[in-house]
Amino acid sequence: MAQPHNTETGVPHEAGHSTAFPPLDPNNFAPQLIWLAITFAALYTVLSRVALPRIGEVIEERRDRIQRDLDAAERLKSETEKALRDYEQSLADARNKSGAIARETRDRLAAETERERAEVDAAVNAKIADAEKRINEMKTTALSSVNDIAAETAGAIVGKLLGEDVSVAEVKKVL
Amino acid sequence: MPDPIHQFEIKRLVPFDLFGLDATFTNSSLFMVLAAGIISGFLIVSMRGRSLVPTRLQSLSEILYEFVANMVRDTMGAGHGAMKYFPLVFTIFIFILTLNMLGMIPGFFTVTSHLAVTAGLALLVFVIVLAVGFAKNGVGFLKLFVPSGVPIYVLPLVVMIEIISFLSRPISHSVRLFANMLAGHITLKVFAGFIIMLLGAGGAYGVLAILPLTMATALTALEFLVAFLQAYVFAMLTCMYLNDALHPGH
Amino acid sequence: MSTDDNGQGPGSGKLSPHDRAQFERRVSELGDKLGKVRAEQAAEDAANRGSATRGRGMSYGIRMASELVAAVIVGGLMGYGLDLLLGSKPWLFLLFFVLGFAAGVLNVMRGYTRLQADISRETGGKIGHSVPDDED
Repeated sequence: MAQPHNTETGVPHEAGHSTAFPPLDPNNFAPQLIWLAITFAALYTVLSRVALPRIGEVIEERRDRIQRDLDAAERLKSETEKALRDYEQSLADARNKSGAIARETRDRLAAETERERAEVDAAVNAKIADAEKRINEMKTTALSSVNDIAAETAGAIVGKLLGEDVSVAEVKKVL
Repeated sequence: MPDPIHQFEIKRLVPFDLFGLDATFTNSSLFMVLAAGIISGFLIVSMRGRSLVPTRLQSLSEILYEFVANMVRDTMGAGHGAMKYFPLVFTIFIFILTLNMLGMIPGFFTVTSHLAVTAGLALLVFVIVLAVGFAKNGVGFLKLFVPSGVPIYVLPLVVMIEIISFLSRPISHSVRLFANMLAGHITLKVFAGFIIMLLGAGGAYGVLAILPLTMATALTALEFLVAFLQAYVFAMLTCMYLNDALHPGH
Repeated sequence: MSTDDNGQGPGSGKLSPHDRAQFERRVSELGDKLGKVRAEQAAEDAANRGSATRGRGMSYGIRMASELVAAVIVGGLMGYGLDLLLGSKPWLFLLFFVLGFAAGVLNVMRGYTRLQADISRETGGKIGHSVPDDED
């Protein structure tokens, strides 16, 4: 069926172009429309099922990714700014606080030193008083013993000189 | 002088019969298959990496995608109702664009310079627009042809005018593409013929060949623009017609 | 001396003033970069929208011109066909030729109205951005 049909339409074409203008020749309509339908349907199927969803996915993913990254950068930026602000704040706080601590410590140390000095003073004073007392005692004992020794010594000397024993009481009486 | 019509000749390559219809594989069929193959191959191969930082080929695919997606969004709105037709519009656009561009290669056949092809595509759009219109608005879609507030005695005329107006869309849709491609290619061939003729005449005539050569160069640049523009306009008007069917009230 | 050590305590082990200046510079640079990226995005969107509007305008023009002609052709063909069918030669052809022209003009008028609506919507949107109390 197709064979004779084809040769029939083919011949007048070869014979003269002026008879049928190819782009408008009805003999060409059927094959063109059929192959248009076939290729278009095939192309549509491939594109709508495979190619386009794939491209759409990649573009969508990239757009999401860029948006996410931008958002993240924005967030990190504000976080950094906040951290810097906090840091400045804490630095200022610390500076204030350290001043206070220094003052307090200085005061405390001064008071401590004062107290220690007072303690030492008191201890030294006590020791001095003690020592003075002991010296006084020693002086009186020494003085009284001096008398005894003097009497003894005088008695011994007198005894030697007189050749007789002289008691201490006698010497004392004499003295 | 070469015949400017010769380039539109249909060559029957493989006779083929489909249920009594003449489905001969012609040079036109060859270029349609070629175009479909190039498009599918390119879009799939270029996206093989699916990388977030696209290669040159991948970004070309993405630019095409975004170009058509923006067209659909701007004309029909960004909702899912509109994006459902995106693959159709994209296929129409890329198919026509590729066929037009293939036709710009010397010696290649220009499929879109044949009325059957452009009419087939326009008819496809027309049928889809009708189907969408009836599916969305039911029989109310027919009210498009019967404007309200028209006196009864001029109604038949008005309805006729509306019908002609509606039918003028697929006609203009198909003829515009067909005529542009046909006229452009004939003009180019005629100027190329002039060049060859003048060069063939020799001597001083050869120098005169510069004139048609300049014209042919300028026309070739223009034809590339037309090849793109017609694919764009065809796709854009498909969007507009679909939008009319989706929102007939506006 | 011990009081000075206490004063540096909370600060030491963190940032030197130099580091801090560096940090501040980097943060402000990041802010500049972010602002630039956002501005670029907005500009790109605007450019896309602008080119889309131009493309649509051009499509409207081409559509109107070709539909004017197409309507006349459709009308003429319909009249011619009906003439052949009813044997009423040139009359229906003439009538439908005129109807076709009317349909063509109607196409152009509709296209023009649609284009104007598009433009006003487009510019209305732009004005709406700068005027706060303007409704969308």
